[in-house]
Amino acid sequence: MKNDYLKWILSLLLIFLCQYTFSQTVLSGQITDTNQQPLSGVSVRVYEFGSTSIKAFAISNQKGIYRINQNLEKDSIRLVVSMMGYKIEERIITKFNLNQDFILSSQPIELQEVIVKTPPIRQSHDTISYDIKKFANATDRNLGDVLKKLPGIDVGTDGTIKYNGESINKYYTEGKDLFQGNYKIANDNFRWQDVERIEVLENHQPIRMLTDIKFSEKAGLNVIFKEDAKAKWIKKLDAGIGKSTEDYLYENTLSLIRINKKTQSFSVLSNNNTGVDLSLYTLILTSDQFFEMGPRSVLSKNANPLTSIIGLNPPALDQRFFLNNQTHYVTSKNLWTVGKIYETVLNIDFLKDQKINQGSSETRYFLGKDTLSIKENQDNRYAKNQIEGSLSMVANQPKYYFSNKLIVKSIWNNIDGNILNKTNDNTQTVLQGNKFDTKWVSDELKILKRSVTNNIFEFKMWAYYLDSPQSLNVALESKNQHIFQDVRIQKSFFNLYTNFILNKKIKLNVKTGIEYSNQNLTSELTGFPSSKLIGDSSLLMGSQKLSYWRLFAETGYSIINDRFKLNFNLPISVLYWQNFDRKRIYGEPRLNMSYLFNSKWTTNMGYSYSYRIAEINDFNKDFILSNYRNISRNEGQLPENQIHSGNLSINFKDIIHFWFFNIRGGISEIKNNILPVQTVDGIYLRQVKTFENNTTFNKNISADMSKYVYEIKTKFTLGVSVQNQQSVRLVSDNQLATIENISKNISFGFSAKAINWLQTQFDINFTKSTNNIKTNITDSKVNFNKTNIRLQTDLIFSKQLTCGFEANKYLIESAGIQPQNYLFLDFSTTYRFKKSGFEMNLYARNLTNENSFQTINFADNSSSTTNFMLRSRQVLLKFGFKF
Amino acid sequence: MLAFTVLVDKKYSFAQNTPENAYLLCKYKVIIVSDTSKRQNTQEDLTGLEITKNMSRYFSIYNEERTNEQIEWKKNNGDKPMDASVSFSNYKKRGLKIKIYKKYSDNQLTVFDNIANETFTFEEQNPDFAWKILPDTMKVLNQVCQKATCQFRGRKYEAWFAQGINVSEGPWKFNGLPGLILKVIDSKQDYFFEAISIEKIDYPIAPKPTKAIVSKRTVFNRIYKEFAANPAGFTNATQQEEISKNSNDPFVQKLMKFKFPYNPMELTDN
Repeated sequence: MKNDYLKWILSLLLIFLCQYTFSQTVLSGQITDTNQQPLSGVSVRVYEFGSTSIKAFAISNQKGIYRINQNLEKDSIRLVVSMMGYKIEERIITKFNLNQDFILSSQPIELQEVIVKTPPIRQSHDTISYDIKKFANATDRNLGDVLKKLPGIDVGTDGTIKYNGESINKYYTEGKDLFQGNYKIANDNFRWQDVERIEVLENHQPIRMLTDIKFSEKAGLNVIFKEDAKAKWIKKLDAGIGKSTEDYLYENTLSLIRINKKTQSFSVLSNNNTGVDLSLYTLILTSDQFFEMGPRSVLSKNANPLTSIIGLNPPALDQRFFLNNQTHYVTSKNLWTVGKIYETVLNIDFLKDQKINQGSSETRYFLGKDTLSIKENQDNRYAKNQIEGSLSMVANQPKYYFSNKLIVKSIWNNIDGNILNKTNDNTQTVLQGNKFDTKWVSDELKILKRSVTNNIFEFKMWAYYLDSPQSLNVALESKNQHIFQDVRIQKSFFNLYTNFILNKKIKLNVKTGIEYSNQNLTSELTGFPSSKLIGDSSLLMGSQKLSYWRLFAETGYSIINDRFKLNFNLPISVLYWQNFDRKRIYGEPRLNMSYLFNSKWTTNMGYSYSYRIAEINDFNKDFILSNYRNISRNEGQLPENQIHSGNLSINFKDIIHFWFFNIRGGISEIKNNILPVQTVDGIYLRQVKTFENNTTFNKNISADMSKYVYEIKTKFTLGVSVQNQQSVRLVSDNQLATIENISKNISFGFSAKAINWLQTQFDINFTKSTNNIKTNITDSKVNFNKTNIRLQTDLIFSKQLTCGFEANKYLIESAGIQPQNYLFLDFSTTYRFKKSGFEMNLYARNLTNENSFQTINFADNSSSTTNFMLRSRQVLLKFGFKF
Repeated sequence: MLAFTVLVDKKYSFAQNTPENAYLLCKYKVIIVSDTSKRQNTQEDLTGLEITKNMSRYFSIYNEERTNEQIEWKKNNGDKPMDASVSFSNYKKRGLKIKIYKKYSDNQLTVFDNIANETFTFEEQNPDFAWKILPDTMKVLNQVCQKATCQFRGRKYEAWFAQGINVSEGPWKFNGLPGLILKVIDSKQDYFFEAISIEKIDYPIAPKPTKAIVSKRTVFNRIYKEFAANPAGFTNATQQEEISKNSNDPFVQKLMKFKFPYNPMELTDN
């Protein structure tokens, strides 16, 4: 009670003071409604002239009375009185009229102009969240379809996801790396309806312990599932049957998925002969910022055999138009947590892939004085079986990191080619058979530990073994000749290092390590008919060995603060070739910087110099028949490659207005010490790699823009790029020819869903490519233009029924060739049954029945024109069950 | 040993008013550092503020979803315990238990909150936050917001309100600014509220819970502090069981030493 008295006395005193003190202005009054009833909770705002920010305010009490005590500097002020459900009153008053009563008349609550739903993209620190349902609609079949529509995100034809122009470095599901880079299968099989949001983790450093020590320019992607989807198995079966002009078609997928934070399981069984390339599921699509050699990168480098059949260049079309396949793929990926911190991922997959490529090609080799021209009609059959198992165990803690990855892989390739060769008016039939197997086992162990003094110790060790027997059989029917080539490559490799990172204000690191590799190549060539080219027959059989030791030490330095980030590394290596008794000492400096101008603009810059250690693949001293009309050998020179490269990028993003923009440029200079000398005898081309210092320059610049207009649900994209490569080749009489390849590309597209029942995607893409070969005497120039216009329209009649049309138009123009025009028309319709989770799809493809497609390609001093046979008109009926 | 029954009368309130339709729902993302020694372990919640012409209700959307899931499970499965996966995902939705009803006509707040599965309720006068308005502006949800600061029960807050939305409302107990508060953060960055959507709605707001122990704010805060310091003792006291502090059982010893992190929004009573 005493307190209450005190309050009263103080209030009275205050009112008294206010009334009689001129320095403090008291603005007051009563607010009532039209029935004279006092209104409480009304806000009274004071604005100075020309200002939209509130200078002072009051909220009326239960008696409708408001008071504002404030020094008013101006003679007159603006008073705004407002309350939801009443008309806004506004008055201009002077200092001398400080008692203002208001009567508010009611009006219906109008919220339209202020209503804001959750924005489709939100940013919090380095994480950008996309609300999937805001972008998806009934025509989207899977998560991958929706990802394509997200502003700032681009999905390539092989499934690679790029964020603001850069490919991502991790693909997580609920923060876990279940897919280990093979994420296309995830995007094709996750239903978007089960996904809550997609998070882009900018500047993502996958090793948590190094977050503030080593910066990353790359982004990671995290798929967050809805709570109800996490709690259960998601089972889906798609079964399709169809008919093309020649064949019966099938396309089936069974998926069994369960994703939650602790355990994840993803199994898919899929097969088709409809042109869906399931081998893309085995590709690693993530890429690290710093190219650190590891089992995956070495494995992909060894994917190309030394011997192969002559094949057709596949056209730059969607694969459903030309891939004549029979593919079966099964995978099971499982993740579980062991002992709280260890995540174990077991992955097993099997691929059986058969395809038929048919068509004709014309290849021209520019050889200085003359040009070798070869016309071939081809009928090639590829059969590949691949089995891969990998087991990885990772603990990614703030003070401890452990990872061990074991990969076992075996690939069997069996390829048959049937060629009708027309060279210089001679026609002959060539049968080719190529076998190529790869057996691979590798293990990679990495441990990082933070000490009590906060410094970090790192230990890494990795090793692999590769065995790759290959053979090429060629039968020239007319001459009754048989050529056999046997090759076997075996490689073993071991690398180990320790690293100490001083983690104080200055981040310094010191690394030391050792590497050893032993590589063998055995080859045997029999029956090669051109004695003019091979001369000494002892070069047809032999075995080579290449083994080296490398000792390396590295110092590194990093700066990480809010605006500026830098990584600098200087590894120095001592390389010792055992067989040659040769030594080489080299340093490979690497610098990366990033500067953040503000929340929207950033720039990145990088420079690196690297030395590529020669592999046995480049060092075949004996002749090897690489395909039926090419033999090659290395004269004995150890290949050496030195690469300087620099890049600069400027990135812009405005999440509120959905703008993404980047411009990037790069240059690289590759110094090489070997060039092939080419000699022709009939259809046969001999390439002898001899010592000749030469340099290849690459320059590229590109700009990409992506803008989303929320009001009309439309994403606009614009891209421009220019690539230039300059290299040299030796042509006849040991003349040097300079080769310049230029490719310019511009593309524009939009994906719109402005109206509820209509979704439209439009893309236009124009490419101009030029190949220019010059010698002192003569030169040759080939160029072509390619234009592609694509329009896809989907009509959404209801949530149950949708129907879509897709038109693709291609125009290929090249000097000396009749302009080629192609039009592809596709149709699809989907009906979804309510509740039962059952759906029916009908697809009709290539309705215009286009039967072949012409492509022009350049490679070194050759160019080729390919006519590739396409898949004929086809109809497919698919049933989908979710159970 | 605690015995809160001594501190408050255990009785039930039956306040049931005919609910009126709310016209606006503002959803706030809430991030709380509940344990200041482990700042990285934040608690996240999605809360909602439903506003009618005469009152408002502030509640945890996650928590409400969780309760509904449990009711649904019970309806379909009876007394069978939840499957591990359902129960796990359900457990993850545990949000703040607090519910605040603001009634404009009598300028009062009614707060419902839980301690150890017991719901408490108390009423308090709508607090005077003594907001100071500053000229800074920022866009939240595309709404121009102006900055205001206040000091309230031991914490300094920075709030951003939208002039364009004429309701003197905000998350938690916050109100009294000339526009809807869309963002609040305290100076220690322990409590963070940010609006993620403002939606037009037209449905009655849920009535106040009918079963709750009626208390006073200061008393509730004191019980909560004691509960956090010794949850085991508190729980046993409510269950009318006795555990001897001198027990040699290591589990009991560990249990008796266990503490909940204590970092409430209201650090002082006034």
